[in-house]
Parts: sequence; structure tokens; C-alpha cells
Amino acid sequence: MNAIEIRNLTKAYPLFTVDDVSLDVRQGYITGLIGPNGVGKSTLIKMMLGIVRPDSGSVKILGCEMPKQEIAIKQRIGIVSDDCFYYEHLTIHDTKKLVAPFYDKWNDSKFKGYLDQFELSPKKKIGDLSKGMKIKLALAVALSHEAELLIMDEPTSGLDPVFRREMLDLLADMMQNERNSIIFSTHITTDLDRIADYITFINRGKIVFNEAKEDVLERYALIKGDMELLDSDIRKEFIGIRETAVGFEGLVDNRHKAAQLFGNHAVLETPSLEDIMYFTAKGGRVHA
Amino acid sequence: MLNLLRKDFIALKSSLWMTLFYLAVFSIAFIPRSDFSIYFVGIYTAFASVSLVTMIDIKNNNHHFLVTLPVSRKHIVQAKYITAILFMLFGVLGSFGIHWFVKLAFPQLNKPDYTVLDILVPMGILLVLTSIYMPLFYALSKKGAGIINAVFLIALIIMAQPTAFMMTLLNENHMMSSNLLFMAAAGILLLFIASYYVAVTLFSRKDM
Amino acid sequence: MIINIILSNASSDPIYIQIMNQIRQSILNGDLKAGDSLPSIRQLAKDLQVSVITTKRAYEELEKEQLIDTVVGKGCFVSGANKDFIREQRMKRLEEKMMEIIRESKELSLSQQDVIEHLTLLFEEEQTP
Repeated sequence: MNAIEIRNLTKAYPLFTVDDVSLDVRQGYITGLIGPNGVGKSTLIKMMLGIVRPDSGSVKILGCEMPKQEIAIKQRIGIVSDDCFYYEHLTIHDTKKLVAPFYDKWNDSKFKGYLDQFELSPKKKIGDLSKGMKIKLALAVALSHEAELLIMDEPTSGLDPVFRREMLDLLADMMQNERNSIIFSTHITTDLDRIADYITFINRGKIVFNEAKEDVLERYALIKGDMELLDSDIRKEFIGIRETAVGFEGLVDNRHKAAQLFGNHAVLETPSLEDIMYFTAKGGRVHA
Repeated sequence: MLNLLRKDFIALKSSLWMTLFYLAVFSIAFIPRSDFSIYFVGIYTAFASVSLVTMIDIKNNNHHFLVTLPVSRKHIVQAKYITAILFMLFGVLGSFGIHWFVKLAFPQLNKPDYTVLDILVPMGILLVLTSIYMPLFYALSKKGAGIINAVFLIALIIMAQPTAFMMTLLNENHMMSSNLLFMAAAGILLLFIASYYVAVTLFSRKDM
Repeated sequence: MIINIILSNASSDPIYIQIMNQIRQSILNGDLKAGDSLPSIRQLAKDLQVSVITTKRAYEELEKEQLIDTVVGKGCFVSGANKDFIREQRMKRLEEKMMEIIRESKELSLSQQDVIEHLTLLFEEEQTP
């Protein structure tokens, strides 16, 4: 069962294109959508939500068609974005009064609990909130209407490390129910990746991979060694390679093959997601 | 739908007094000076209020937020048309009430007897204005909508004198036959309905 | 039910192996007894701040070793298999590893005596820290 099913989604902009993207986001798990800035993560999320209309392709959320069943879908999802578009001149209390009646399953005491927990005073004006506080408020709203699917666009960019950790607990709480799902996008690999089950890597408007994080980290390898090891055939094995006067560091996506190829002559390490992102985005050879 | 209307009034809460302020200012400005003050006060108050309630949705790109709520874009547009009608009624009826009072309290101003037409004509003009304004508001970006808003307000001020002149002509030549009135009313209603569908279509296609 | 699991970022073992090893250790040294319930996959993921797939995989591996049982709707329990069985399991694994050593030794043309001597040496090294 998939929480989100995207088929052949395309949107062309003058400067870049989200090109024929198909993607399944699994129900019951946390999926991290990673990739450098400006490669289409936000556009993809906005298309899922119907905020941006795709040129072609289809989106299914929780088994319902977008945008035909948009209203029913939006009852069941929570949206957190690093941009906050609430009415700036209203207080948190007014904002709640405005938002709550839209949701069938609004839980007021839950909302109050989150405000307390996040140290947000209902009397505060939206315009006076810091970026991190706005994200907390959006999260409180999202978690207070029993959302089955949480969609978060760059949620951690304005948050301090302390709250980022707290957020892990909140999200894990939501995931205690195995029917719930979470997808978030980020361009910086953060603590959030710790709890992500699946990683979807998007680069230049295309999906590079969408698989379990553990499989990704097992499949890829970071190889470090002397320059003498490199020749043109071996260079071809790398997704990205950084060559310096003191040696090279490169990424391969077939650890097994690399282990055979290099044997004990080079160091094989498990890459971080950041390594994978860096070498894939740069591609080819990087001289430093 | 009700929730969206509610939303407009919550969002306006702190500036709802502005509409009363418009009514007072325009009354003071027009009543002693113009024979057609009943039209001007109503139209200006209503249109200024409508632009207040539309601008509030784009001040902070709030449409981005509205489209994440469990409502369709059609409903967002629909609710705004209904709010606009409410503000039109407020402006026009408010103006009518004030003139009725002024006629009683200040007979020296020599205000004419007011009829139902003095409610219907400004309503008609407002419907036409709103029919043009709304689709533009929903099609344009935040910046564009701000410009359109300013253009409309300036146009209203410039058009005041020529319109007054036209009205005088019409009245003097007794061109206000009931047939013509009926046709005009039907045309305006059609325009308003068409405008609604155009606005819904434009807004539904728009990328936020 | 108290189990202590300490995850180390410095360890070269993947997280699911670390979880597996520590639960297995708790079972083998008797901290966890047959029938004791284990935290649910999702609860453990929350407590350790790791992904659900990670804890799921650790439990699946332990299940394969017949150290734990999953009862649908009730959760995970330490398997009823007794200590002898567990010891037997470990002996079996040890034997497999020994077989591997023997094979490798043959390839390197080491005699049985060489291997035993080497092993004795390593044993001594291990004992003197």
C-alpha cells in the first residue's frame, strides 16, 4: 500500500523541468526527499498538493485521485512548509479559530497541548514569530487534525538543533500507528535522516533512486586511495570523484564490485547521504 | 463555504472598522457637494471594502495557505464573490440609510426623494466593477493584484465626474425606461455570473 | 522488562547489527528470559531514534535465529527455545566459522599444528589486554 503514488509527473519551467517523475511513497514509513537546492523537490511536493498544477501526469494520495478528491485528501493530510502563509496580523489564537472549523477531526485539546509543549503563546501574533516558531505552529496544526500523512517541505531549515531532536520524537509518536506516513524534503542532511526509512534522491528534476536507506548505504561506497590506482577505465566506475594532490575520494554505487576491484589497495567506507548527494550532484571529476 | 466566509471576517476583524470609516469619510466628502452623493458614497464605500477583503488574502501570499486547507479553489473564489456581495449591500444600503437620515435632519441640503432605483443603480455599477476586478485579482500575481487594485481606485475617482454628468443627462432625457432597466439588470447579472466562472477557471489553473 | 541498547556512531557495524547483537547478548546471558516481551518495532525505533526498517530488520534477523517470536497483534517475545538450544545455535555458528578457517588454512597450506599454535597465540593475546 502506498501513501502517495506519482505517475509520469512533468512540469516545465524556463530554467528547469521536473521530468516524467514516477514515485511511490510507502504507507507506514518515513520517506526523506533529498537533493541539492533548486532541483525540483519543492515543485514536486507542490504538485502533490495541487499548489502547482502539473503539465501532465497523475497523483494519488491515500488512494484518492488528485485533484478530483482534493478536499477529502486534504482532510487527511498535514502540511508543514518552511514558508509560512498564515495571516501575519492575526494571533495564534485567531489563526486556530480560523483553521479549526475546516477540519472534521480537529482536536482542540491536542492543539493546546502542542502549543504548551512548543512554548507558543496563543496571544502572539503570527508576524512576530521566528521562522522556527512558525514551523512549530504549522506542525501543531498538522498534528491536531489526526493527519494520516504528513507532508513537510524543508521543515528543519529554520529549526534549532534542540527542537530538531524533539521533532524526531513527535514524528516517531505519529509513526507508532502503522497506517501513518511521513514524507519530508530537505537539502541539508539532518538528524531527520536518522529516522527516515526510505530515501528518495532527486537531482536535476529526475529521481536518482527511491529505496530503503539501509540498502542505499549498503550499496554505495566511498573509496579513498592513491592517485596511482586510477586509470581511465577505473574512473568510469565512479559516479563522482574528487582528485587532489594527496589522493582521490570517489563514490561508487556497487560496493561489491568496488571491493573486488580495489581489494586492499584502497579504503572502502560507508558514505553518508551527504556524500552521495555531493558526488552525484557534481558528477564526473572534481579537482580541488 | 461558511468556514471561508468566517475566515474573511476573522481575518478582517481588526480592520472591520475601516469599512465604517470609509462610509463616514465618503459621506462627509460627497453629501454636501454632489447631487449624486447617494451613488458615490455607496459605490466608493463598497468597492474600498471589497478591495480591503481581497487584499487581505494576498498580503502575505495567503492563497498559498488557503489552498492547503480542505477546500477547493472553486470554493475559495465562490466565498470571495459572496463576501463582495455582502460588502456591496453594506455600502449601498449604508449610503441609502445615511441619505434618508440626512434628508430628515438637514432639509436645507435639498436632497431629492430617494427611490428603489437609488439602490439598484449603484448595485448595478458595483456588480460590473466587481465582475471585471475579481477575475483579474485571481489571475494575477501578488504584485499584479496590488496594481490592479490601485488602478481601480484611481479610475473610480477619475470617472466620478463624467459618470455624474451622464446620470444627469439620462435623468433629464427620461431615458430610464423600465424596459431598458430590465435589460441592463439582466445583462449585468449575466456578466457577474460569467465573471465568476472565469475567475474560478483562472484561479484553478494558477500555480502558487 | 529492561533491555539496554547502546548505539555507537563510531562502530563500523550497521545499526541493525548493533541492535541485534545487543538483544542477542541479553538473551544469551539471561537478562532476557523466555517469554519476556520485547518493545514493539515502532516503539524501539522511537526510543533509539532510528528508522522503523532498521528495528524491523534486527527483529527479523533475530527471528531467523529463533531467538525471538513475533505473535501477530501481540508483539515480540523472547523465544521459548531453551538455553541449550541457544548454545547449540551458537556452537553451530562457531563450527561454521571454524570450517571456514580450516578451508582457508588449507589454501594457505598451513598444517593443523600451525593453526592450533596460531590460535593458542591469539587466545593468549586476547587474555592479556
